[in-house]
Amino acid sequence: METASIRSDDVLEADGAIRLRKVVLSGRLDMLGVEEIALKLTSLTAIKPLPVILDLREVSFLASIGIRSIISSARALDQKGGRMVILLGENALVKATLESTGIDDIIPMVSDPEQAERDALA
Amino acid sequence: MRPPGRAPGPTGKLELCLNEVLANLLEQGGAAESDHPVELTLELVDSGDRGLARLTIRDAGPAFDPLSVSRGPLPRTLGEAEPGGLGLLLVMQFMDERSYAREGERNVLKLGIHWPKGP
Repeated sequence: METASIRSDDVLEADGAIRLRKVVLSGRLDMLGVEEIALKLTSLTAIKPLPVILDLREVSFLASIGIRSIISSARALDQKGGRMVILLGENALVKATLESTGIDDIIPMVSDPEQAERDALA
Repeated sequence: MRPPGRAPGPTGKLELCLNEVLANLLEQGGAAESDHPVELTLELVDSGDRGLARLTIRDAGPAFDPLSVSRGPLPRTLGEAEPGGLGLLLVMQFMDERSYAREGERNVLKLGIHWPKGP
C-alpha cells in the first residue's frame, strides 16, 4: 500500500547559510501517511525563520488531517518570521482540496517551481 | 497567481469524502464502531446525460448528523485557520447530493456525485 514520504533540500548562500528550504511531500496524506511525516515536517519547517517551498506535486491524496498538519507548520513558520509557499504543479485534486477549505487564501499556492522560489524569497 | 490544473475527477472527490467520513467515525465513534461494523454501499445510477455515484454509509454509533454541523467563514489569515471541521467542509463542497437519516439504531449518510457522460 502506498504511504507518504518526506524529503528536503536546502539552497545555501556562499557563506553556508540556508537561503531557501525545499520540502517535498509525496504519497497519500491520510491518517496513516500524516503519522509518518508530521514530526519531520514540523522539524523542517517550524524551527527556523526560513523561506520554505512545500512541494505537493507528488501528493496523490490530501485528507483534512494532512491540511491540518500543513496549517500547523505554516503557522509556526509564520510566527518565527519565515514564509511558506505551496508548489502544486498540475495536481488538480490537491489544488481543489486546498481551495475548498480556503487554504489558498492564507498560504500562497503556485504551479511553477521558479515562481515558487521567487515568491518564497520575496 | 494560482496554479491552473485540470478539474479533479469524481472518483478522487468521492474517495476523499469517504475517507473524511470514516476518519470522523473512528475519531468520534469510539467503542461503538468496533462492536458494530460500518456498512458501505456504492450505487452507480444512469440518469440520462450524466451518471451518479451514490455512497451510503451506515453506522451504529450514537445519533449524529454531520451535515447539521455549522462552520464559520473560511479563514482570512493563518491565525484564523481552525484545525477542525475541514473534513465536513470538503464533503459539503465536493458532493452534489448529501442526506442524513436515523434509521432504527443506525446513522445513514448518503453522498452522491455526478459526472458528465462522454459523447
